[in-house]
This record gives sequence, structure tokens and C-alpha cells, in this order.
Amino acid sequence: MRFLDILTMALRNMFKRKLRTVLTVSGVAIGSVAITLMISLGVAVNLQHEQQIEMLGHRANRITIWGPWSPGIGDAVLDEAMLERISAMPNVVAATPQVWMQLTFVNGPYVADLQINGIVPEAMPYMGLNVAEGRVLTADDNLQIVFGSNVLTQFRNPRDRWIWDWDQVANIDPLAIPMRASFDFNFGQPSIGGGGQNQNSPAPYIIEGVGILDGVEWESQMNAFMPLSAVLEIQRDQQRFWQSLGGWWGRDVDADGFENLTVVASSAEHVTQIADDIRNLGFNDVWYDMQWINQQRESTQSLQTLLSAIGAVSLIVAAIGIANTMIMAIYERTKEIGVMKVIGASVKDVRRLFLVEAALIGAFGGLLGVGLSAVASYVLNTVGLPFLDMLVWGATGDVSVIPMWLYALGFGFSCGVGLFSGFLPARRATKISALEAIRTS
Amino acid sequence: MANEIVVELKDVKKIYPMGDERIVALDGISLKFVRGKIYCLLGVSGSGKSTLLNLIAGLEKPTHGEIIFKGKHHIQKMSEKKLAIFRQRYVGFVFQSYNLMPTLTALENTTLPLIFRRVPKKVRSKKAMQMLKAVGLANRWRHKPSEMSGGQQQRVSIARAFVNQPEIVFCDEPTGNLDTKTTVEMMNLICGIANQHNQTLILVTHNLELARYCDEVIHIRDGKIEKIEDVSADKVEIQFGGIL
Repeated sequence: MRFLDILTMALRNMFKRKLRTVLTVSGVAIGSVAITLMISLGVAVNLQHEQQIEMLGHRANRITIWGPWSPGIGDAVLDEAMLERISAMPNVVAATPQVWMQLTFVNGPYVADLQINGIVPEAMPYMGLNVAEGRVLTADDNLQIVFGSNVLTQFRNPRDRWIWDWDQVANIDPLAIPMRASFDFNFGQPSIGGGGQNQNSPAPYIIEGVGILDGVEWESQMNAFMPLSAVLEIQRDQQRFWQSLGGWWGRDVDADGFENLTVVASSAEHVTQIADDIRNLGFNDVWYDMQWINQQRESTQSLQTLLSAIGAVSLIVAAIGIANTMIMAIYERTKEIGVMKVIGASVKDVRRLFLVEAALIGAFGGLLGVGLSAVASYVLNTVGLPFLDMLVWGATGDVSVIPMWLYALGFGFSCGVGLFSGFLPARRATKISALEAIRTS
Repeated sequence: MANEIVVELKDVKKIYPMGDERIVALDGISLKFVRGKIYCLLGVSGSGKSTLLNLIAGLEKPTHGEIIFKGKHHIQKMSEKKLAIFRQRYVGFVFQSYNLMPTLTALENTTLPLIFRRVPKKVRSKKAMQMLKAVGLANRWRHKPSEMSGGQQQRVSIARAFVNQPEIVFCDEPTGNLDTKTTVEMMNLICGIANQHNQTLILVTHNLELARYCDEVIHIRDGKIEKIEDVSADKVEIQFGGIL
């Protein structure tokens, strides 16, 4: 038989038993809708997670380690050797401590107290710190600085009362000439009582501005970045200075190690593994933003599996429905099958007739399922946001997302289920003895 | 070719195991069917005549013996696949209870053997329409079996049996469900077409009346050939318009 003839005959047989066909097709459609919708919920949740990761930006790749306040507390020490060891770990693209200190900058009449972040210069690009102007720090830099994007708003003229107005911006080019800077709080301030600066004030540093950050991240707005080595050197000067004045209660980097370490992974996927490796080195205080998303993902994944299983069950029920319908059809058509065999139908023809009919039921169910899924998805998205909120904290947007591939999957699955459930009945049909079939009336 | 043998049976036996007993349906039948002749297998029910027909048509396999089609094809050795092709090309069937497909129209029922032979739609519809004309149902080609009388349904089934121009046509009690007048019409039709195309007709019946249309009557009793009568001399004249 030609395929077109098989198709026509199968369609005709389906049409003959309209109600039964409609019922079986509905069964498949419901199964298909169930599985499509359940998966669509998962797709929506994954989309939410992706958006959250996107919102994190380069922070998704980041791990922060907090070292011990003083040695011997239990955690390993974040010293230079440890820094090198962690930098060399697989999938780690950069690692740097962030050493914070405040320096007062003077540029002409303007003064600014800038928060300085001492980091390994090579780590800058990996931390999402990009310049809008000038350049980032390089390994050769020492008393060089890259300003945050808001650097100008931080400069003020201490003699000018009205400069506090936020709109006022200092009229200077921070990259034009090197600035003087000091850790002395009184540096650059008008002397009280005309005494000038402290008698034993340290000599200011001459620091050259080489770049201004783009300010995309909050980190690159208010902070200024200097090479780690330079900041450590200045801190040592500061320590000596305070000790000369009589007291120091700050952290001694050389003895205690770094306070923190920021590690950047090559991609967000590797973050968990790297964090585990770092914990194994003896650090307990290891944090990364991905862990929240991962936790959420794990909890939603088990729910998704459950939902998909419910969908699968309904499709299995539909498959049984098709098989049942087809077996009924065989009982009903036993005589016809026999006659067809006697007048020249081959075993292949008979098998294909039943397979095609079963597959058609699946295909119609799948088509109907695609339509119903679209409707159900729309309804869910209109009224179902609280449900998504249950799965993803702070969720916005669609509860159910059906991409094209999911429609195709739903349809394909239905056809497959039809074909699959047709196998047994079709085999049975071919086994019918032509003779006995004709004798039955 | 005169006296060309279409089917030859050599010592054919068919034994059905029935629990501990063995029922011998056919016991050493040897027969020759010649092209263009009309045969009548006559016997009471249970004599084995239907079994014989089934064996020749390849619907059942003999327990013993050979069934040779056209001198070289051994029907008892054919695979299911080959048997299907054999039936498509060389065999036509007319049943007692017509056995038309209820979902198909008269025309479609007639084309069915051609559909199995993968004949293109145009060609097969044309052939089937000619057949329907020959059996006098051209104006009813669109009707479903449920919309036709028994006689009309049997005409469709005759059209279906002859549409693929088979070499042999088997008729299993073709008039068992019909009244006398229609019986005569049907016999004229079947035998007329068969004569016109020089086809071999094998008629299974217990109705002696039908023997009058035949060339040879093969009496079967208890699975054996009782006698073979040449009745061609007493044959009635077949009334067939013959548009084919």
C-alpha cells in the first residue's frame, strides 16, 4: 500500500468512531498539556535564575574569603604563599586581597578623603573594573591610582562653604598632574589657629592618577584602586607613624596575613568547586553570591522533578488509553483485517494501518495539546505570580515559559506516545489468522 | 495455450490435531486445474471442500503434499510476504457473506486489491469503474455497503474479485445468502467474466444447481475425491452481456 492510502484509510477508520477518537485524542492532549506546562514552570524558574545571575554580573564568578582576625583561631592564614597557591588553582583567573585604607588627597585648593583599595593590579579586569578614561593598573605601577567614577564629587574646597551642594563638581582633571596624598587626617585642612599641619606630619606621597573607572558597579564609583604593594607600604609607614605617636591597634598584615581574599573563577559554574577546594585549605569563612542561587536552584529542582513526574504519569495514562482504543479497534475489525489479508494485504500493510492510526491519534492529541498549553500558560501567567513567588524568592515576570522547543517537544512526545502504544496492537493485528477472522461474524 | 495447468495438487493431506485426536480433513488429494475452466467442489459441510480451497489460496499450509501454481511456484513453501503478492496478482475471492469494508464506498471496495498492489489512484479508479459497469453498478459507485442490497453487495464483491485480472477466482458459497433469481444473475456474472478472460474459477458449494454452470464437478467426501464428473456437455448457456 502507498503511504497516502494508508493515511486515508486510517483517517477514515478514526472518523467512523468519532466519539471514541475524540476521547482518546483528548486523553493525549491532556497528557501533553500536563507535561508541557510542568516543564514550562521549570523553564520559567531557570529563566529567573539566569536573570539573577545576570544581575550579579561578574560578581557571579567571585568568591570572598575572610581570614582569621589573628593567627591560631583555627582558620589558615591568608599570607602571600596562600595567595599564590589559590591563584594557581584550576579555573581561578585572578585572586587578590582587598586592603582598605583612607588617604587624603590634595589637588590645588581641593581636598578629598578617598577610600583606597589596594589590590593585585592584574586582577582588575577580572573584577569588572574597567576604565572610562586612562588605563587600569599594571604590574609595574606603584604610586599610581585609578579613581572611581565619582572622584570629582568627592573633592571639595574646605574654604568654600557652599561647595557641599551635591551638584557642585570640582573643576579639576585628576589625571592631569600627580597629587599629594597623606594618611594624616589633618592633611590639607586649613590650620586651626594658624599652626599649620602637625609638627611631625609624615611627608605626603606623590600619587599619579592613571585612569577613571566607568562606574558600572558600585565598587567602581566611590573607590579608588592602587597596587597592593604600594598600599601595604603606605600602611607600614602609617603603622610606624602611629607607633611614634604612641599607639597602634590596627592589623599587622605582615604578621596576621590578609584580612580577606577575593577569588575570581573563569565562570560561574566553577565557583562551587573552587569554594569547596578553598574550604579544604582550612578556611571556613568562604562566601559567594552563587551559593544563594544554587541553593534556590536545588530546592526548585526537586519540585520540578516532582512536577515533571506528574506530567509523565498523565502521558502514560494517555498511552494506555491509545493502546486500549487500538485493541478495541482490532476486535471490532478482526473480520476486515482477515478479508484484507485474503485479498492481498501484506503483513506490513496491516501493521502500518494500525501504527499510523495510533500515531495519528498521538499527533492530533499533540496538536490539541500545543494549543491548550498556550492557553493554559497564558492563564497561569495572568493569575499565577504568587505561585512562582513560592519557588523563586522575589520573582517577577512569567510563571510559565514555553519556548518553541518545548512546543515541539510536547508535540513530538505525543506522536511518539501514539506510535509506541500502537506497536503492541499493530503486532496483534498482524497475527490474526485470515481464515479465522473471516469465519467470525 | 490449451489445457495449461494453473494449479496442481499432489497427494495433499491436511490433518488438524484436536486434543489427542487427529482429524483428517484432506486425505491424499491429487488434482489438476486447467486454465479457463470452471470447477465445482461439491460436498456436504465437513467434507473438506473449504479446506481444499484454503490450501490452494495459500491461507493454510498442507500437512503433506505439494500445491504447484503454474508448474513452478510451490504455494505451500511461500512466505507470508510472497503469499500476499501471490494473492494480489493471481487470486480473486468471492465470499458467501460479501465481506466488503463498511467504511469504504462501492468504488473504493472494488479498488482495494489494486490499493494493496500500489497502483496509482487514477489508474485503479478507472479500472474499478469499468468493473462496476460490468457488474451493472456504475451508478452506485458512491454508495457504502450498508446502503446496498445483498445482491448489490455481492456484485461489488465480484467486481473486487476480478479487478486485478486474477488467474484463479475462488468462490466460497457465493450465492448462499441470495434468492434463486439473484443466484442465477450472480452465476451468469461470475462465469461470464471468467469465460471472457479465460480465467479459472473454483466454486465451493453444496448446491447441486450451481454445478450446472461448471465444466467439471469434483465430489468430495470425508477428505477424499469421490469422483470427478465432466459435465461440460450439460452446461447451461451463460447469459452475459459482457461490456468488458
